[in-house]
Amino acid sequence: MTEELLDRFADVLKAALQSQLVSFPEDNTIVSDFTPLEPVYRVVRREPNNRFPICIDDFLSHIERYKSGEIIKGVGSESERELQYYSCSFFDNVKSLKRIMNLPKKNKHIIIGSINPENGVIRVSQGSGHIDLWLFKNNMIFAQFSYDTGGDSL
Amino acid sequence: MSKILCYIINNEKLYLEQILAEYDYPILYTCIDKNRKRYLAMCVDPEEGRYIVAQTTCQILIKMMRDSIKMIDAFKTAHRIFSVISSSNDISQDIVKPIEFSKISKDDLPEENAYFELLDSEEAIREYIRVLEDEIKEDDIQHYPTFEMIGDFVFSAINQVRMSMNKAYKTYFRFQSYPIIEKTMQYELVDSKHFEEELVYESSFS
Repeated sequence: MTEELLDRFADVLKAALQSQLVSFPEDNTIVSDFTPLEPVYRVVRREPNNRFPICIDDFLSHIERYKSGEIIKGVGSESERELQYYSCSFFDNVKSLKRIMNLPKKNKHIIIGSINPENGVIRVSQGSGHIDLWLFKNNMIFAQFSYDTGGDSL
Repeated sequence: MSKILCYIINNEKLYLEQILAEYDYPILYTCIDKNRKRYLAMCVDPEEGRYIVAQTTCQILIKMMRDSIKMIDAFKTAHRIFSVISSSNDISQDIVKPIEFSKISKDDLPEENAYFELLDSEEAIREYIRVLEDEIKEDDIQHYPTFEMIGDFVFSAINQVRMSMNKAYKTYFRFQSYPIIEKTMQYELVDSKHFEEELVYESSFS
């Protein structure tokens, strides 16, 4: 990985890469040069009757969202050593989100938009439609998303 | 068994087995303990660290994943349900309380009419279903008697009958032979008396 690319990542990921807590695999599954993906879907949470604008906090990774040392069940205490928890999740189809929408916690909303190489590097999981995005810092990705008003699509 | 310890319930350690729904964190997943008991666990609120854990069976899990029952039914039919409040960094300090299904808030359960709806692309979960099905088959085989077990049973039964008959025969024979024994004893006494007399007689000539 080039120094230039390393500098573009959010601080928490950059620090983890520099300290070799995590590393990008060398199997070319993570790509920086890709055709923009659209539409892509993500789930955000809003309290009832409080649908404030989509913001950068809606794109925090697991590591950024939860305090260090805090155990999220099923993740384990070694989450800081797993690259996937530094990414934020998207799906290329809305059906993959249906199960998540039917489970707690409530007050979930689907947002729809696009991602492109200016946002970060991605890994597309074959078959599942799941996309990991390792976001670059100071990114305006939230401007590319809006609430999915087509609730019937589920 | 995975090394990710999720819960300690009634001194049993529950380890992550299969994630069934995940977003930025696992939302619905199964756990397994050392006795191979299965649990369906659900993250209700990650910020508050609230979870619901239901002790269930392989059959129920398969039914849920194959859409024979709704997701909520997997909790409704659970043997036991626990409410867990995570202690953030020490699993042994979690607050674990048994809870009745009827006492769980509707907001903390899957949507009433929602099915699992396994996607064609979810190969890992399909493989997990196959693993559970194989385990059920193995359990069934273990519960069916083998030829060896049938042989042992028949041999044991024959042995029991033989021993009973032997005991009954001995009792009968003993009862029937009392007069003979008594007579034999009398003869023996007479004989021994006669033998002593003979000895005295013979010694008188020596």
